[in-house]
Amino acid sequence: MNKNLEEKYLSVIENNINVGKSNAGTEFLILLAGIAGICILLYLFADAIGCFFIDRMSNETQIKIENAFSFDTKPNKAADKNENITKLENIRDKIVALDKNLQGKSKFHIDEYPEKQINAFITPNGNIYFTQGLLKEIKDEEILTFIMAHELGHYAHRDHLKSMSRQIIVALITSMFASENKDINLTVNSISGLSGLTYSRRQEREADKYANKIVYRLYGNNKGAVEFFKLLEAKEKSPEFLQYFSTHPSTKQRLNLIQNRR
Amino acid sequence: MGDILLLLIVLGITFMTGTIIEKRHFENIKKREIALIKKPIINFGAKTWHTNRKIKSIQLVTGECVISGDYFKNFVASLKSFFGGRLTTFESVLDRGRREAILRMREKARGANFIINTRIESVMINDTYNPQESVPQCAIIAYGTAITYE
Repeated sequence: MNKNLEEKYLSVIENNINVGKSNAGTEFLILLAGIAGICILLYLFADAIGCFFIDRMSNETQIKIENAFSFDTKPNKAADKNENITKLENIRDKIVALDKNLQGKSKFHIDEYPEKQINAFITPNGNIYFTQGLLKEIKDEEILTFIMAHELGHYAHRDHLKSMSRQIIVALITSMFASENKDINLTVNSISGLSGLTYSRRQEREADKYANKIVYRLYGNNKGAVEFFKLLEAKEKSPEFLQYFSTHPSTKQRLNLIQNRR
Repeated sequence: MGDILLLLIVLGITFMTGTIIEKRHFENIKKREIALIKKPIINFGAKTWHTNRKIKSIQLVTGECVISGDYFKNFVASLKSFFGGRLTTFESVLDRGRREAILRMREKARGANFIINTRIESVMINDTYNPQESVPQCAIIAYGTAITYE
């Protein structure tokens, strides 16, 4: 065989022009960045719309929407009330008296929730639940005030309405396209899940700041709150980076946030 | 948020395994191609072929290969198909499949002088009733007539 021809064949084998030279990994990252960019723009748009209308919403509309969205809760019977709840109700009345945003809206029923974990939450119509684990573990009034003020802070900022509106707007837009492609759906859902968590962590930080302010106005210091987070930190075992997959910022960050603030 | 972590882990693992497998396959193909560089010459296209030499045998030779991209490649291609453009992750898969099929055909025709009228075809072996659930793959068949001189 001709020597030149053989060399030509060898070079064809070595330099394959049929395969793209780009790396699949970088290509994937570029694609991901593009999709994430589009999603973030979408969320900025949804946030802008949501916050614009919700911040200007009247109290009557707010109560109407809340009642439409929340599940029925049994009203507290007088016999069920134990001393913990009456204590919490006193704290609640103190906080509500401080903030005009909270007055004349919900009645803020307080109830126990049968769970061992330390947790508290507020439903869209303003019912506040404290888990039994929390009530058992924490007796200090300053700490309970901080927790209560945190939950009421969510309500005062209308956080539940805001996160709901943003989810609805984004779900509407994403469902218009990308419904055919399974993998696109998966990616978009993951990105919007992470973005939703970031948003949720921001709301939690705002609520912490609000609660901090309230505690300062009531007691003149935030020793209780700092103590509470130190207690939580001692119990926590998960590593710091996991906060990016969580609805709340890490306890360390929350502690730093309120420690150096008035 | 466990599913996001899981997805990332699966994508990472399949990216690594896919890259290793593809690299090895390409190395293997190159080695075999270089070894066969002087062996049966392939002739594409000729419908009729004449020779004055005596022919010992005429034989049909085929080479087949069914090849699929990994999870990562399919995922990237699927994302890219939304925006359009070259699906580079599938290009390498198709190239590997085609070269493998031709190589197998040539290896089958060992000892022959020529392979004439070579054709390459590709088929999807899909479940026709449920194409969405089928594995994304491609079957590539190369066939030709091997001619041995006396």
